[in-house]
Amino acid sequence: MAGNQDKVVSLDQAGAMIAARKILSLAGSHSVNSPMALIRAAIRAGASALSIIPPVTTSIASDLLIAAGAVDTFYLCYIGFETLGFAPAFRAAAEAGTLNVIEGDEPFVMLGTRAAAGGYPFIPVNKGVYEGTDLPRLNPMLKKVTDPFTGEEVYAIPALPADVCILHAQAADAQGNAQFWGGNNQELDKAMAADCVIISTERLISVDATRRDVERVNIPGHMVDAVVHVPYGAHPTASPEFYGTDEAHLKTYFDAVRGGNRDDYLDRFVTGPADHEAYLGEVGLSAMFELQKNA
Amino acid sequence: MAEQADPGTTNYSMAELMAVAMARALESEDGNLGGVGAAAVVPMAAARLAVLTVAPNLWWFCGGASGLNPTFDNLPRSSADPKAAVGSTGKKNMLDVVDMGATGKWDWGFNGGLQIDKFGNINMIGIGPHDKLKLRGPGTVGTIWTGTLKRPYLYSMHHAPRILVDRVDYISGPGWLDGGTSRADVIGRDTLGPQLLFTPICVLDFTEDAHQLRLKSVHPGYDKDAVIANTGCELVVPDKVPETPPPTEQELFVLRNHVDRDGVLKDVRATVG
Repeated sequence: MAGNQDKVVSLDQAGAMIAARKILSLAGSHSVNSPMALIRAAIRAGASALSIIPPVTTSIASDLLIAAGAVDTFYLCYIGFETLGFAPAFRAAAEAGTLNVIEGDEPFVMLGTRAAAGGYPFIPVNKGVYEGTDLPRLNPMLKKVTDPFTGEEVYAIPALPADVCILHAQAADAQGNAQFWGGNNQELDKAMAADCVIISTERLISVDATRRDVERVNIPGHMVDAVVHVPYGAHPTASPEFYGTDEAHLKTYFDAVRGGNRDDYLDRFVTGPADHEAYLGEVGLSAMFELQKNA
Repeated sequence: MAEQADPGTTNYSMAELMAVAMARALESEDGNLGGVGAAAVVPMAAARLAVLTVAPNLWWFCGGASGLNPTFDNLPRSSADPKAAVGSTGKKNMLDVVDMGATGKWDWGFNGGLQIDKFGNINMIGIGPHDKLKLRGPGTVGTIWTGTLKRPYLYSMHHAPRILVDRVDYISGPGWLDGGTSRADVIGRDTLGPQLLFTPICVLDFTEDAHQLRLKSVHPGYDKDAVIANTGCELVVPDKVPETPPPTEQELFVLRNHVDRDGVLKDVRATVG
């Protein structure tokens, strides 16, 4: 889509694009820059039977998709709610056997994504990374192979390509040139490893504004298929320099799902609100203003 | 039933005491490079406190926000919070973190587990048969790097027989494996196994040759019988076990005024039983 100069779509259109695909890669981290508005839109658009490739740490972004019944395979590295506890929908689905969990880890997810980004069929790592652990036994996608140059045994991590990658940016222009403030730079490889890249953004800026601040551009627009202007699009996770993590909202979600009231949460915050504005109405202006103080 | 660990005083919380004890241990790492990961609010506080007290030249990487040597004074609950990178002297890419793990360039690091065994192996995978886990854990995250870290440090915010076990159900992070020389034999690297384990009621280390868990000090409010009763594996218990020195006024002053101004550590869960 490199030639397209205006990639701006509506949130509903983006939700339908995600729901039409099967392998979904999520950017951000467990508590920052999760593309939550896109996730809610995908659920409303009927996303189902997804395989999720999360960032190395994930929380409500993945758990909400699992709670909504939209996921059948999950590439695990870490999912949790930190001081609140285990991810409730993930844990329930995994223990019930309704979720296929690929027992991944940091090198598996990071190097598998790197391999897909570069078109490498796999990336070998030295045996010592996995020796002494149960990961090779538990993850059939890790294969012990022989290094053709030294004859040593190494582990091969396969490429992990995605059909669609969704990311939340602090600023992006209509061409898709996007800025992610904060985080640990998993975005570029994730975008390169996906067939389709959709970005939600706090601010939709002009291409002139991009040109004035090019050092901050992490993903060039030629990799991007669609841009959606969604202020508060990472809520309840944080958006650096815009708003902090909504701890109270995370607890509301956590308590609802763990307490067996998952549908109440989904009705109120995901499927009930007709659009993102209605969702923000449910969150409330005073809460939104409060979170800005904590950015 | 798990209850909040109680130091028997209102002067400090057990999470504050743990942060102070972990900070003191980092004195020996001054000048070395290490890091903390997710769900690591107490190690984050410890690293920051260590820089301000006993290890001014410590190099440390702060998890998801990816700052090196951040200088926050209001401790974030999450290492991924952008505030966790405030005042850093550098940033790392996640891919660098993996490369450095694979090449064994991290000197020290803090890791936890939902199970930790008597040789310091850690399990973040789960409990029960893998195709039908009774408890599905949160995933291995960076615990795999305990195999290549030069000196891993362990912590758990819960001290209970179900957590400190004889043998972990799965090894997501290799400790001393089966003890003795097994770690060096299997991993084939010049790295040491876990050095210390911090819990809400005690500090443990590992014996010199067998590398088996040994009680080092017991936190105020508890005694060695309480540690034994709440531990699910055999422990080496010396005849005399000292009390973990409580935080000094100076340590608490620095912690509360330069590390954790919002008092996050006052209500972090640190449980026993």
